[in-house]
Amino acid sequence: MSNKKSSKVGGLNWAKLGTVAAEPATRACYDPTGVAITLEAKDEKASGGEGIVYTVPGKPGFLVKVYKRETLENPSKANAIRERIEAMCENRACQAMKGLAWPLMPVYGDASRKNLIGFAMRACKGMPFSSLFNGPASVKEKFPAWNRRQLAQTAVNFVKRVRLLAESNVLVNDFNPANFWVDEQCNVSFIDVDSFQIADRRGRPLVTHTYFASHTAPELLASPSALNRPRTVEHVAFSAALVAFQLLMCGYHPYSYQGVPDGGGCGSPDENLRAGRCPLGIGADCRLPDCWYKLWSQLTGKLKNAFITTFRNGHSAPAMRTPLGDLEFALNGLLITMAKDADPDRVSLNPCKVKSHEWIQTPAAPRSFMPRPAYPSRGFMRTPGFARPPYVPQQQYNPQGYGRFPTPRMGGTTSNFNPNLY
Amino acid sequence: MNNNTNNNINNTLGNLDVMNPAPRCPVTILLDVSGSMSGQPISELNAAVAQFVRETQADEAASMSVELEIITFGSTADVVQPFTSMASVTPPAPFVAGGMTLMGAALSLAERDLAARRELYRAQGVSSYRPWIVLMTDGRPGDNWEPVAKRLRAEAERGKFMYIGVEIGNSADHATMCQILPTEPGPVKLQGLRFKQFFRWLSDSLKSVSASAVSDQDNIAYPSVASWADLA
Repeated sequence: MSNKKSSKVGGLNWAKLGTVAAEPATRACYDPTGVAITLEAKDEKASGGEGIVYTVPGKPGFLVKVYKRETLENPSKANAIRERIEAMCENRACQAMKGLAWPLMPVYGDASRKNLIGFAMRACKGMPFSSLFNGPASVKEKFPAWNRRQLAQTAVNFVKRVRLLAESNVLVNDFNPANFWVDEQCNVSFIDVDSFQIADRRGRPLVTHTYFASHTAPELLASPSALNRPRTVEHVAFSAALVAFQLLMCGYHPYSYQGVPDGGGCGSPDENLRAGRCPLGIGADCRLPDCWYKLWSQLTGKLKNAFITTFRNGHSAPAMRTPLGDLEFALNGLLITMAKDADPDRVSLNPCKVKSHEWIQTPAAPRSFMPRPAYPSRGFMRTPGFARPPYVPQQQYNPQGYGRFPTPRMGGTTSNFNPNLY
Repeated sequence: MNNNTNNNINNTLGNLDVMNPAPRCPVTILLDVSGSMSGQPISELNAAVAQFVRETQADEAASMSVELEIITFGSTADVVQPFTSMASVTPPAPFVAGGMTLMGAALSLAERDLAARRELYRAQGVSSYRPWIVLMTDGRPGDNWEPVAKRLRAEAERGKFMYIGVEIGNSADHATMCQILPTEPGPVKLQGLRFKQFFRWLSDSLKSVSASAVSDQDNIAYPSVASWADLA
């Protein structure tokens, strides 16, 4: 038997898997005042890679996350967790935010409060975005009364929440769709927030390495060391746009490439994301499948442009990405259009036909390549009390030259019309 | 292709819902239903497979990602459950043990159907995780198994799929299983008749797979096998 060797395929190693230490069935932990809380296995609500979330007996509406023994036994990880949780527990503004499972107080493994093992937080309601990301049928199954108007409203609320957090020096880091929840009234909640990047008392970013490969900016996936870099608003803008796109497209990933160029399969969304293979916009050497193109065609031109700018032009040029505020504005524009447009296909989860394209403005000069200041001095922040700057639509930048843009027109097709553009 | 196969390829493709954007994880389970499995082993196996279907369906991500195929091998090799999204699978009718062990024919079916499924994914632009092949037997192959086993083993060693072999009882031919399966992780023996524990582990592992990004599937932390594997 060769089961003592390590596996090269998928990390399977029988001997190693047989010796994983189980987490204790009962945990005694203490709040900051030294009051004991007993957490039992039957109270386990969820388990993730780093920790286990428990309901708290006698405290409905509150949860406790306890980090796994394997995590806490690593001194550097344990120290980083302690520093992060204690800093988060001092952020009263985020603690007061509704729909945010922000750490309310640290939880210790001993009454002397030396050994931080987790934190208490509010429970969130709703359904994870990932439950809605299995196609139109899954949306209908979860929320029978919904159409794409509610999905658009959810996208607005989601992007707004990400923006507000960023303006508070808190950058969402792990964009796993299972970490974002929505209820039937389109209220969004964020869980697993201990992975967010926050600033310590001196303003230095406390970097976390948690990420979800299919929802992470490509420059962070370039190498393992790149993940150690502090996150910036451009990273967040990329990932937030990706989640918003999936909301509007019932889970379809913008890098679900359809090119099949090498005969080696169409590639997974995360592989295509790294490589920049995206079927949106002009110049793409592939196209959206017809069933998904119908949904895409129902978006407004400005919103399509915002996505194309982020996923195509902004793939390798982070400064080109549509800022969160602009994306939110474009999403609001879609909501307004949906309210005005009598065509049922505009809001249908299963549009019957492709909407005739809506042309964006004449392509103009590309946005400045001047990079935005990186975290923590973010140029996009607005000073409180100042009016919102006027919306300036993001123009599509074509690195191959402007000659390839079709002449804007009101409708119709020509031989060089690319239906995938809008 | 071995002649002892009962299914036409057109019937084994099943439906592929292209409006489901979840990456798929095709899973082929090959079950020995030869005469030596009769009695308590086959009844335990039947109960465990039904439990596996229920538990995997209960996980939303897994039910949308996992596509299950079940092949049994005894006197014939049969596709009793063509590739179907786990969300739509109904537990198969109880298996009846009898006959010899046509493992080679079953491996041929698995090879054919997996290739066809992957081609279908490619043609439809559906992304997928590495397929899983699970082989459970309590005996030794009674037909020509070597050519197909060699091909599958080579593919598995190149990382094309996850290949798990489980030996049931003491009469399983360990030496042959070592030739059929890739060197790593190699075959593993089931503790007694702990089919339910094995299938719970399989279900939990597939839940972990479907909750991960495709490019992260090599970094998945699988649950412990201590409840079912005899690692002595």
